[in-house]
This record gives sequence, C-alpha cells and structure tokens, in this order.
Amino acid sequence: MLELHNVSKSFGQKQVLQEISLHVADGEFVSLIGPSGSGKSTLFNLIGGLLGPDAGDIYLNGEEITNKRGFISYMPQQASLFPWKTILENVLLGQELQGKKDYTRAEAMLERAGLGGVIHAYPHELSGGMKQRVAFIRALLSPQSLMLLDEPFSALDEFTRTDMQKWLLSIWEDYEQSILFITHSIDEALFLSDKIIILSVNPAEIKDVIKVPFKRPRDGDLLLSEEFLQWKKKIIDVIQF
Amino acid sequence: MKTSLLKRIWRPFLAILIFLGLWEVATRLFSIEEWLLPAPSDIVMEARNVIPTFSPHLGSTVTLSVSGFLIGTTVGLGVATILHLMPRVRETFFPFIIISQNMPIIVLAPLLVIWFGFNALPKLIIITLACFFPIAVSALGGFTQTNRELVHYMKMMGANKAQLFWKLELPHAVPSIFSGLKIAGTYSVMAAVVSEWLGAQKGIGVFMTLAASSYRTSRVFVAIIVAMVISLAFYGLILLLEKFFIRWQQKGENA
Ligand SMILES: Nc1ncnc2c1ncn2[C@@H]1O[C@H](COP(=O)(O)OP(=O)(O)OP(=O)(O)O)[C@@H](O)[C@H]1O
Ligand SMILES: [Mg+2]
Repeated sequence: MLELHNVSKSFGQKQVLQEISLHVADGEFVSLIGPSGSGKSTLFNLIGGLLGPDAGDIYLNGEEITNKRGFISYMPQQASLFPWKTILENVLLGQELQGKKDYTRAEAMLERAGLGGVIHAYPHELSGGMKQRVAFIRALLSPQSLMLLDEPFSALDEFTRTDMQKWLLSIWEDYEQSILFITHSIDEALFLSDKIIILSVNPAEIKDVIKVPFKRPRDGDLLLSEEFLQWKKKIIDVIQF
Repeated sequence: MKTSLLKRIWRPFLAILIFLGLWEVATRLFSIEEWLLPAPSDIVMEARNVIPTFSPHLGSTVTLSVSGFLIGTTVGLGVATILHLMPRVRETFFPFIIISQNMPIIVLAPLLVIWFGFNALPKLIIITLACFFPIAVSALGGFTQTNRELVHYMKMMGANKAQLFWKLELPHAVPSIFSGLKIAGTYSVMAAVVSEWLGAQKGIGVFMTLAASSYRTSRVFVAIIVAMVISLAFYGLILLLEKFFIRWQQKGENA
C-alpha cells in the first residue's frame, strides 16, 4: 500500500530525515514513535505532498505520489473542526473536497460511533474527546484508503485517552483503511498497532521495526497483561540503546 | 429575555431623559434663542410639521447610501479577494490601501464635482470609497488570519487553492467582514449626507443646508436626528444579518 524509499529531507543546513524507508500494508495499523523534534510530522507532510523530499520516492498502491496531494486522509493533534459547520457537515468535509457527499452513510457512522446525539450540533458544544472522535470519523469517511494520524490523542487526559483508544479500535476494526499513527506513548503504540517503527533523532533514521503479536479484537485487559509489559520493556530497551 | 433587555436599557434611557429635561429647562431658564439652540420640545414640534413633507428627502438619501454601500461592499470584497489570492499584487498595493484608509475621503469631493458635475455619480463615488476601505481591510485581515491548523488540515487533505478559499478562508473571514460592514454602514449614511451638501435637488443634506442658511435651527436638528436614525437602522439591519450568518459562533472563542 504505502511505501517510502530512502526518503531524506533537510531544512537549510539541518538534516531532519535520513534515508527513511518504510512500508504500510493494506489494512495495517502502523505506529511511528520517536523523540520530539525527530521529524515525524515532517514525514507526514512529505507523504501528504505538502513538502517535497530532497531524495527518495513515495508510492501509494504502486503509484508514485511524491509531491502530490490528495491521496491520503489526515487527522491532526488538534481536532481542527470547522466551527461554522455542524458535526455532520464537518465529517463530510473529506468527501466534499473529493467530490460527492454521502449523508446517509455519514449519519449511520456517527450513530455507530456514539455521536448520534450531536449530529446537528456545532463543534464548540462538544468536549475535547468528542471533537477528536468527530475528527477521526471525518478521516475515516474520506475516500482515501490511507489515514495519517498525528498524535491525535495527546491533548486528552489519561482517562479519555484510554477510552478513545478502545473506541478507535472498535470502529476501525470494521474498516479496510490503513493507518499510520504518530504517538509519544509506547502503551498507545503497543495497544493499537500491528507494527511499530522506532525513529532516532538528528537526523531521524529508523532504529527498529517491531511487529506486535497481539491478536485482534483487543480489549483493555491486554494493557495489564504480563506479555504487554514484556513488549513494552523491549521497546524501551530499543529506544534507550 | 425581555426583562434582561429592559434591565440593560433602563439606565441609558433614564440618562437620556434627564439630559433632555436639563436641556429643556436650561433653554427656558436662560431664555436661549431658538435659532441658537432650540429646546427639545421645539424640535419635536418642528418635526411634526416637516416630517410629512420629508419623505422625498429621506428616500433620496437612503437610496443613495444603500447604493453606495452595496457598490462599496462589492468592490471592497472583490479587491480584498484579488489581493489575497495574488500575493505579489498585495505586496504592491496594500500600503496604498492603508495610507488611503487614513485619508478623509470627503476632501476629494470638490475634485469629483469638477470632474463629474452635480449629478449622482460623484456622490456615489464618495460613498463607495468611504465604504470600500473598512470592508477591504477587514476582509483581507480575516483571510490572512485564518487558523493555521485548519489551513494545514485542508492542504493535507489535498484541497486546491479555490477550495481553500471558498470552503475555509472566506467563511472564516465572515465575522471579520461583518465588523467592516458595520463601520461601512455608518460611513455610508454620513458620506451620503455630506455629499448632498455639495449640491443636489433632494436629500437630508440638502434639507439641512437649506434649514441652516435660513437659521431654522430646529429643522437642522430634525435632519440630524433623522440621519442618526437611518444610521442606526442600517447598523441594526447589519447586526441582524450578522446574527443570522454567524449563529454558530460561541461567545469568546472558536475552533
Ligand atoms: N518548515 C520547516 N522549516 C524549518 N524547519 C522545520 C520545518 N518544519 C519542521 N522543522 C524542523 O524539523 C524538525 C522536526 O520537526 P517535526 O515537527 O517533524 O518533529 P516531530 O517529530 O513531529 O516533533 P513532535 O513530536 O514534537 O511533534 C524540528 O527540528 C523542526 O524545527
Ligand atoms: Mg509533530
């Protein structure tokens, strides 16, 4: 599905990304973890076509998308909903940009996601967690098959966050979209992903790629299991090395 | 709702009543001549006399200011859009807009009369110019202050320049445009009245100059009050439109 071949990027003298190659398979959930300032958001901007790489190519479903926009769906850290649009109109934005709006599907999806009561509300009437849910549904409803999520839950408190992770899995597991997910939380990465890519810093290189063995569907108990802690330790070792 | 409105306006209302009362008493007490400062009661009497014959003047001024306002709004929004979408053009012309915004447009009036005569055209130009600047500046400000995260989101989602403008920047600028419209609405009435001083057949400005030159000061006051009422009515209308257009907005913050 998504492939990056030796992608490098510098800003002026400062090299941020060095020869990053990675792969996201169809329907796969891949997390990127790395220190602050390592260049994760920059990598997203490259995949989204907002920036061009200094070297390397980006492919989506076999088609080169380097420097091209409109091939991915996106969810930022701040919900970034349009304050003048209702929740329903907001989640349809991705479709609106690509052409046709499917109101029935959007309404059904909002119902399923537990947002049926706020379909016609405006964003300012919602809590932070609800806004993030809307932003996720918006990304999921966009026609693109790959979603880039840049620290979508990092602005939420711990309780809301765990709820959101479970909620996200419960919704996403019924869909085919692939996800590339940036996070600072090892727990979050382990709980959600099939694969974790660990980045170093200055410049960012891929330190390690870890396949997560937990079966789906996953539930909250996993977070407290012995196995989970062992994997967490393994990742911490990689990061500290 | 009703009581709170009443609660809010009774103090200013009372203040006005006291002010009018003092004014009335003072003019009588010091027996001030009517041509110098008429008492409120004189003004009311005069208003009763002239209001029936006033409608042609009123109609003319309202038509003039509304037309000028609409033209000025259209041109202002158009120019702001062009400047926004073409950064080079903006860099070249924006300084002039800021400078000319601080210039009293009225000083151009004699020149416009020389060029275009005493018909409606120079008047419309003055009103248009007066409305143009607040609208162009507020719209441009609204466009450029668009939330950066929303812009980033739109770009990541593959929005092109037109989509970015129509779906994000323009709606985002609506509250800002409305603050420009409110200023322009008031300016348009003022500019209309002043432009009528230059010479016209009808209009509040004409009525005013005629009354002033014959020292019928009560009439001047009537004209002033009518101009104020029109101005306020405009403002109220724009406020109503604003309420309708940005009913989504939460008090204080957004996004
Ligand atoms: N447009 C730009 N121009 C110059 N430098 C930039 C630009 N964008 C990012 N950088 C620099 O690139 C580096 C990586 O930034 P980036 O935002 O990608 O990091 P990140 O991994 O997403 O960090 P965080 O986890 O804090 O979000 C930083 O040092 C940043 O200052
Ligand atoms: Mg980042």
